[in-house]
Amino acid sequence: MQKRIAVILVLTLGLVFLNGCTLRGREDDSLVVAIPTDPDSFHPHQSLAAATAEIAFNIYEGLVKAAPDGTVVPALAADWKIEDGGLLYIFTLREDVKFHNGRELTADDVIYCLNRLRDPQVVAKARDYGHIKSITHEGNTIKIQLDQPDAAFLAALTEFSAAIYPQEAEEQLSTQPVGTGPFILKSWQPNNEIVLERFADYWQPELVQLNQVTLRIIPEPATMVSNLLTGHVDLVPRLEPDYLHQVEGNAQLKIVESPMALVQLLAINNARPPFDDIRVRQALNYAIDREQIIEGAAWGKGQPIGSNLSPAMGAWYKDLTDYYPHDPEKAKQLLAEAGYPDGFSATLYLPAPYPLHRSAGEICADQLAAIGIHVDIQVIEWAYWLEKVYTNRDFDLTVIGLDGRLDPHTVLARYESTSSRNFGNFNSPEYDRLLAQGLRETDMAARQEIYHQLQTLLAQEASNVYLMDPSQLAVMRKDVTGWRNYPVYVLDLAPLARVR
Amino acid sequence: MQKYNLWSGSILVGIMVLITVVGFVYTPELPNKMDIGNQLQPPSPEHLLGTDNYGRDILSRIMVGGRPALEAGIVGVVIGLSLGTWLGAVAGYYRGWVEEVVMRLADGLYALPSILLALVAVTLLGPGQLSILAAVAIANVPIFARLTRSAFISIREAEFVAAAKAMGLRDSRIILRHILPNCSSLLLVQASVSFANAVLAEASLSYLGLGTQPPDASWGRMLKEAQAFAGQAPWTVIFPGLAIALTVLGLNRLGDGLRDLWDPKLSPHE
Repeated sequence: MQKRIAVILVLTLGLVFLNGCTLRGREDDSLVVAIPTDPDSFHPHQSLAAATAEIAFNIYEGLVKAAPDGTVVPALAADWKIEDGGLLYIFTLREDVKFHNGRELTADDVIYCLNRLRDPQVVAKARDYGHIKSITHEGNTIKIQLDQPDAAFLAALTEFSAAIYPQEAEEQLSTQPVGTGPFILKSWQPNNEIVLERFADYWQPELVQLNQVTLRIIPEPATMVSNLLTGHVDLVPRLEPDYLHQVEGNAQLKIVESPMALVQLLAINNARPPFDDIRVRQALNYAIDREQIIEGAAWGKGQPIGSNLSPAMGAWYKDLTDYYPHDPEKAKQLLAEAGYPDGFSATLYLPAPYPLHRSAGEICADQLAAIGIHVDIQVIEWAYWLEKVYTNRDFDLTVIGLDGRLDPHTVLARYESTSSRNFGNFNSPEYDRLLAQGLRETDMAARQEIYHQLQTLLAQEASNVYLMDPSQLAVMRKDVTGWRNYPVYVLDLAPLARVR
Repeated sequence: MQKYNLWSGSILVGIMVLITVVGFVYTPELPNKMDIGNQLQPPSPEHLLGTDNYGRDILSRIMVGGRPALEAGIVGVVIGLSLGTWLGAVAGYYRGWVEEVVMRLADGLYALPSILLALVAVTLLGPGQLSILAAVAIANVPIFARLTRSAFISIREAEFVAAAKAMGLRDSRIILRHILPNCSSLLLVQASVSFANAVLAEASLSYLGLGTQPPDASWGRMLKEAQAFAGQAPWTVIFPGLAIALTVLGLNRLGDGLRDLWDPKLSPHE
């Protein structure tokens, strides 16, 4: 009997202790955020994954940064001037900025980082900074000379790759980032959690509300949602739409819906027969019913698109959703003209970790079957997708999302015939010419017109079937405030707070 | 009462097989036909078991979704039974080094979890029904081999075997005509258990996305696809789950019933 009581006592104490564990670290000034994947590398010049840039936004800063409204705002540079017809950029560096290692930011750090960044031998993304001719400084004034006007240059400086770090930290950055941002990386347990802590010497201390943010890596959306419902997670920045109904109407939670600036598309390998025939690609475009895909895959949470730019891009965006209305009869006729009256077979690769792209792909396959195209679906792992589709371009069709950027040039440059990102093998000399012209153009109205033409060209050539800009569904506990949505792939933790 | 297991098992298995067989010639709707706008409809006269997240008819999908499961069961049992029994018979009859080699190989295969075997098959052959069939078949060989061998070891010492040997009969004749028939009840009971395990294995592997690929239906895949909607539309989970459960239950009861029928020693009613 006594033994039994002892056992019960131990169990009870154990429960109390466990309870203490779950409550620990959930004070008012901390927050738990769920993210689906582990970062690849925190070195700004090595990282390729959008999932890393999204977190690094809180650790690093560049000379300038993106604002929620899609404009470029000062960061490490207090202000800037553009002179010499767009050839000379003059930045005034802030004087009160410290790195996480305690050292003050100097102009030498900026010059070191940007010079390393534009070296194609060292950095994969150097191409985006290829027009830099020289970088010099006089005191706190940094002058960047370009060899031709580059309208996308300022936006490119907001990217994670253009972050400024102390040169002495070069070797350690991939796992121990040192930046100037509002948060310090306190610990990182791969595939488990990342703990960020408030940086006490941040140059805008009033901006940061939380003392600690824990980013829990939860690949399975169902687990993410159950953690949110049970209060183990406070914020899910990107909820899979399939799980929306589980959180809708829950009094403990609120949902913030905003455009993701993502371009979801049924990508076509333009170089591979039979898709090298424009009539076949047009047939695909006529066969797809976007409204059904938005309803069926995203439960209505998305906006249709007709070319490779999201409506969230404001004046740059041209509405081409009516370019190919849903018309299966016309699609069949085009297939017959192209020599495939009975259709043909094709393989559709779908990326396993993205339920939204998978669902959209399944519906696309169903719609293509209606015009006689037999689609063989293969759900493949992400690493295999990157190798097979993106790097080797060995595919017929795939469904994927292309993330948004501040400047339309960066988004549309992936269709330049020589671009390494042009995995669909789009090839149009006219497009290449216009794209180069857009970069040199400094007149806003003329530039806008060029990007409208580029979008039209992509639609005209039936380069891909553009599906939708899905809504970003941020779900959080009711007491979380300060959520801000960006047209680029970042997660802004600084303004987040908890109110009683 | 004594044959209760046998009857209930046969009826359950019969119903599930019948549904699947009818699925080859008739389904209420095309099983892969999507109907966006009619998603997650509860059971109604139009859709007796409701619709899934793409508006597909769940009854039709269950009717065709049993194919990969039953296929796995049949292939697993047929290959396991033929190959495993043969190996086990040789090992149990000749003993000596033959037995050592065959049984150590079988033990080696036995030590590998079947899910690991399936992952190897998927890596080699790619995701799909073929990999599952290969995995289920390979996993069943050592099971039947062990069973046959142990039965052979005891039966080969029997007097009628000694008599057959004394008469100068060939080994193959002794194995096939004299010993094997005496193990057939044992093997049939194991076959029904193996069949049930194969159905479960197919369902689990399809659930993991390694088996049947979209848009085709399989009971396991249907469960996976319905996972996000279990709370909002329970019928998307309940019916495919029920199909798996009833089939496996039926097969297990059938196995128990067969054992009771052929092996009076094990029956509590004697």
